[in-house]
Amino acid sequence: MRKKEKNIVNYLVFIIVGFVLFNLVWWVCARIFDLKALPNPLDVYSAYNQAISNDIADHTLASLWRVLKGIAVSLAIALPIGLLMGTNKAANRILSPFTYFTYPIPKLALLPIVMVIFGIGEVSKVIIIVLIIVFQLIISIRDAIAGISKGDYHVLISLKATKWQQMRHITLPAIMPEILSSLRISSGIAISALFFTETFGTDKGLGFYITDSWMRIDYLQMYFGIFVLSMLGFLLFLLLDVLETIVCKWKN
Amino acid sequence: MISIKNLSVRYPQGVVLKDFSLSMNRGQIYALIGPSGCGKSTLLKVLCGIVPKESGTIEYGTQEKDISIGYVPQSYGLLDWKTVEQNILLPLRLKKKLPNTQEITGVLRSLEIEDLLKRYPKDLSGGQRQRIALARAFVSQPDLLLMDEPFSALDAFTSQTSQKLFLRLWSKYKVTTLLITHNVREAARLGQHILIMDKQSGQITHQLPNPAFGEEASNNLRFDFGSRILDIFAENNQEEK
Repeated sequence: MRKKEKNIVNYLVFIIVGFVLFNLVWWVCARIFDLKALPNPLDVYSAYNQAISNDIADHTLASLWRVLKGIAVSLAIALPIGLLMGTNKAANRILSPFTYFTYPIPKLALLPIVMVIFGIGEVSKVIIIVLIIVFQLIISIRDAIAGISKGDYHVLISLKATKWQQMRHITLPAIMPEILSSLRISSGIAISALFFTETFGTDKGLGFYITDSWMRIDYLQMYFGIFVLSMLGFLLFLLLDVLETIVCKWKN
Repeated sequence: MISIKNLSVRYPQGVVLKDFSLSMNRGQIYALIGPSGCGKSTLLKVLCGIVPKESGTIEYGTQEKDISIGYVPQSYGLLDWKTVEQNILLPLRLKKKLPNTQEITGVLRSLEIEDLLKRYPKDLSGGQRQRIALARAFVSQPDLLLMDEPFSALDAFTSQTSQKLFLRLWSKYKVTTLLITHNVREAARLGQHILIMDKQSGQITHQLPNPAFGEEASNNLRFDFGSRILDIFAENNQEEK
């Protein structure tokens, strides 16, 4: 078996083992507590017919679209700012205190202000996701640049490479693993934030689906919604893993 | 002729090179040896443009102009995220020159690395990485090749093989080369001219033509010449005391 195929098989085994273990723990908990509010996984999965007729696919797509927009906007903001801070000492001196000061603020607490300024529609939801993950991305990018060996630039400087060429051939590829790693952590946080933002001002999205089922004391659908939301997070992880194998081939 | 005239370099902690001058004939290898901290590596970094000079000129022929540099640092400076092929072709890519396939194949064959092109640097041995760095320096056919202790991280056997391959390639292109080394035997083998730098003055105190240059020279001759260099070092040391 070739190395690449072996890696794919190992990865699939890793996913299956994780899924089985997760369900086992869930099943054991359901048996121990024996509560209506904690159904066992098999009952939840059997409720898929009801979920389909409840348009869960539409809710999932709405959530996926929001979280992707949040991550894309965050990256579009964090990349230039992180690069500026990582490559320019003066910019870092000015922006660092601001980033450090704003990073620990619980961004969900800003929700009322965001809603007043941007309304209760789509924009507020994306802005909350962005506020939660953008600072972490900025700091990761800046630190990743600080970790690049100065010696890596020497050969390019001796070849009279322009600043853009140095950025293109050294800085960006060197920080790519850290960006993807940070995105992986951010995507988990983004999913949590997404759930929260979808509990108000919308009738589309998995956050709405879960809370709505909860209000109707339909625990099977509530758990089905939680399961799909988790799968959404897992899908993002998977996408980032695939992206890493393509973009950071040299690391494998 | 490449002439470095009155070159001075200052770091925040003090002057590293002061009024340093050196002339090199084109198509020759100069091996520069000197004690640690005498400014050898700084000299290479200034010539590469990594460290700014405070004053002085670098002339190529009769005029001051930007010369093209091939640089082989001690750690080889290969980019981990580029394949061997991408690393080797990087100088041409930066200068937007089309690669001459025949020429490049010749360089790869001389260094015996034509089978490594699709690999990444982390999958290579130290000797292979070193040869890739040499190939990258040679493909752009620079006006001046600068090498900072390029063989020092290799074991004795690999170092000897790499030096042999370097000489083989160099004899084809005859690039003007300035090589820094700590190793007297290495200098005696690779340098047509030996430059001895003194720590106290930061100047070249001796410039010797090397009778033991190349693969053909006998070990005895190289040993005798090496002893002579060591004697000069001892004298320099004595004077400093």
